[in-house]
Amino acid sequence: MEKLIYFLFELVVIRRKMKSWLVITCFIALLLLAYLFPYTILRSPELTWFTYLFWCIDALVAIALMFYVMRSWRV
Amino acid sequence: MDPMTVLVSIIAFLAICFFIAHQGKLRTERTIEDYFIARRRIGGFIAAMTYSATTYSAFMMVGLVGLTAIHGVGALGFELVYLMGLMLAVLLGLRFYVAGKKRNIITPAQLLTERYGSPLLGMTVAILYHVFLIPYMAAQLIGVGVLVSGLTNNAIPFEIGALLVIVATLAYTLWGGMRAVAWTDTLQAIVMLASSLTMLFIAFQLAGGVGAVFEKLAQDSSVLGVPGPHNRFTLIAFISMTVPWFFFCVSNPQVVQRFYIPKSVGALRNMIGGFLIFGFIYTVIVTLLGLVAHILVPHIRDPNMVTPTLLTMIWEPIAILVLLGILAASISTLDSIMLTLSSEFAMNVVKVVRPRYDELKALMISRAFMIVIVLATIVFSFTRGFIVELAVMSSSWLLQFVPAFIAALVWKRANKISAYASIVVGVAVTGILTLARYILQPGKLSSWMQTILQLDPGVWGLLAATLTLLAFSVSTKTDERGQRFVKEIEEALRELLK
Repeated sequence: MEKLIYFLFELVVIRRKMKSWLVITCFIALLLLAYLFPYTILRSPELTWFTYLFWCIDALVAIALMFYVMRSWRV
Repeated sequence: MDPMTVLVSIIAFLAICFFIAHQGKLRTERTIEDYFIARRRIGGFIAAMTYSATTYSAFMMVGLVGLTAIHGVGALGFELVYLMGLMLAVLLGLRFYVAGKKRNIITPAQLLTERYGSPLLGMTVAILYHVFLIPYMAAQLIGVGVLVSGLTNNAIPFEIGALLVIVATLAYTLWGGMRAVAWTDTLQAIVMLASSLTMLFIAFQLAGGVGAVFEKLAQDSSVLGVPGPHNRFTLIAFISMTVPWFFFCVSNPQVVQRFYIPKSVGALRNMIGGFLIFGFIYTVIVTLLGLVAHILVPHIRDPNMVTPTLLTMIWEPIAILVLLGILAASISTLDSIMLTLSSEFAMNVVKVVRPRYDELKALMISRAFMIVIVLATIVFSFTRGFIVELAVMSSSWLLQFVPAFIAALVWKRANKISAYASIVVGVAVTGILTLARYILQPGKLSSWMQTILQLDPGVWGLLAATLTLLAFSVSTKTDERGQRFVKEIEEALRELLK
């Protein structure tokens, strides 16, 4: 978890240069998670409440990734 | 609601829209480029607002609120997966923008003409856009008419409400072109956001506060997860709903045309970024409103009746503000589609059939054609019935153009034959499966056939269209024109992003 937070911090704040394939891979993983997670793990009654929050977080990370891709569009 | 107050409010709102549109008209020259895409001079903020208002129709405040209230948070997942589809705009938007500037492209179908060297392909796609989008426009109008007549106990009949809105929208779109549409969309986007936020705030108060709402929701946890209380969001249903919408930013011409309007690459970035922020906030507001509605009006079973019922529970001036917000969402979608379809007609039909026509003549004909589009929309909306079904399917049909568009921008091997074949096969597969869904009786089918038919026909169509494009592209001769087109875009991109 710590590593993930650090990675996201690097991504947004430090703007580490990610290779385009890595961006695409991250995005595909986020997209697959949006389908898989709510229909598997989050179906257990104790975790259902987290579905709304999960989708929001997943979409926000995807949006951050899109802003990252567009960072060089400054002309 | 008092019919006179509703009528006066709607007329006042439309008058403000017309005033703004007139300001746009004053700055518009009589050229096709200026009328349809504001000479590619729209700033980032306005572009973001028009993109948002065009994308989000009345479905958000009426359909999605009801869907969340009755079927749970699957509706949020569906909308957020759509928003994630904006990655396609991020990856391809710049290419659309560059191609537009380099080749003076004004409409999406024109891009296909330029790239594949086939005016007939552009014309076919432009005509199909009309076939698929006029029912969608009619559905917007039906929504407006039903809402206004319902809230005034039919004192303002469906036909009057619908006619008032479509005529006013036609008038200002016809008058001011893209600048009028973009500027009024900005006002409409602000009204949409402000009214939904106000409604959410009041709904929370009515339900006893945020804490009370979540306490009650926790007791009925099925609404907080998938597939929801009535199994509406099964995985297959979720895939069927999300796939056509994931590709929305490439499949819908009124959205694609927005890639041609920003004045710079920075403005394009602000347009996409601004839409992402707007879209996320609006989606969260609307789905939260749906969850509160689940507590406030638990007895309602028709998703489209949830918001109208909520509106009867709140103070009238606020209800009218929300009504205007819903109207704004409908109008902003209608005006953009109207303008895009008429530009498609001008550039891909008039200019192809009569290449010698000068700009003014082509512009005049396309403006006259806008009236035809509106008349068709009115006729469709007054007949209702099957048209609503067609409108719901529009995103599935439009999906069939996606492989040809993506390949046009990124793949040198794709050619005219593969683009044609891909569109024909995609539309045919979607059509056959749609018909099969209506004709065949599920009880008499094998289980694998039932599974195939459960998934949206558009998804199978997209799969078939993609495979066809790949197969034809690798097995037929590559044309030099296409290679030059892609190379030109790539060189321009390298130059831009240096």
